[in-house]
Amino acid sequence: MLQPLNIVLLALLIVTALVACLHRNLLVAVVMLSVFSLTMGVVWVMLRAPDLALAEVVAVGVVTTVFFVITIFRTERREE
Amino acid sequence: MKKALAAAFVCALAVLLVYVVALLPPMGDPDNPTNQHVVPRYLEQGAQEAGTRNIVAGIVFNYRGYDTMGEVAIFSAALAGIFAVLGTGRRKIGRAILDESRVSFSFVSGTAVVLLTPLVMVFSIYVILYGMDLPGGGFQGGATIGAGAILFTAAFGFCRAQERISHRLRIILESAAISGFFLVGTVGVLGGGNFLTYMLPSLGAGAGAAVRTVMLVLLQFGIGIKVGVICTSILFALLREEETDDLEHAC
Repeated sequence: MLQPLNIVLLALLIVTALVACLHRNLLVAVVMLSVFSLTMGVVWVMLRAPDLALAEVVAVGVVTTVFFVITIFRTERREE
Repeated sequence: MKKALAAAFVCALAVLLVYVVALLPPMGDPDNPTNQHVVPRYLEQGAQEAGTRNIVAGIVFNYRGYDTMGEVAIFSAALAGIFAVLGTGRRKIGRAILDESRVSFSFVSGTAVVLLTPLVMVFSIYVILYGMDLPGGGFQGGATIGAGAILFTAAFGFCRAQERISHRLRIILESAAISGFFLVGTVGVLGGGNFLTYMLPSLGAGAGAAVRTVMLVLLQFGIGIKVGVICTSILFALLREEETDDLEHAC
């Protein structure tokens, strides 16, 4: 299970998830979420779940990301 | 004091969660409870009973047809909520924020999108049609349609995209998709079975299998169109500005 590629993918998942949660710039967070879901798609393929991988990459990686980006550009940003 | 309490609580919760994870059965073990209950039947008889070589599609559309119907209804509810908040764009004159972008329209990106969009659409139809036998299906194909619409809108702007997929057309497609799902479900009742039964008892085995395939493909297409239209509608609703005096750029 713990082959080198697996370790790299899982580490990338953790790093992108943390950056998406903690980064102050929302655009960076959204792009990191997209990277997370693309990585997750590869992980799903390796876990023999290609249906889920397709849904993850298309729905979360592309469509939701675009919706988030539009919403960020249409809303104002305030910081304390 | 408050912070220390919160930190202590979080640490205790983390320890508890890690402890529970350690108690979980090993991943992929055939003796796991999740692999004992209904999974053997799905894997051994799914291809005959559900009539799909892709077991996942068989589970989603045949064994768990009610769940899929509920998901379709949830999509409609979500779209209705978004329209309630952002407006439907029917009466007022709209203008898109994307169309007043300071980045000028590039010939290269336009040509790339013109070449790519038909391929994306053909691929989505392929994913929907082959959802019975290969990974994919209505949801994935529909989301791919939405991605194609996003691609076109990003290059050519909201106005030209909305000319091609008008609000009226989207309403018709969306209503047809969800009504089609319920109609196909009702065919099972008329044929002597339960709601969302595909193998009609009143037909023979040969004709029944053919009818089942047709019904499943119809369902896949219905869900694909529905998800694609919903993605496009949400995109347009997000991009639209409510009212504008700038009639030159309005659409």
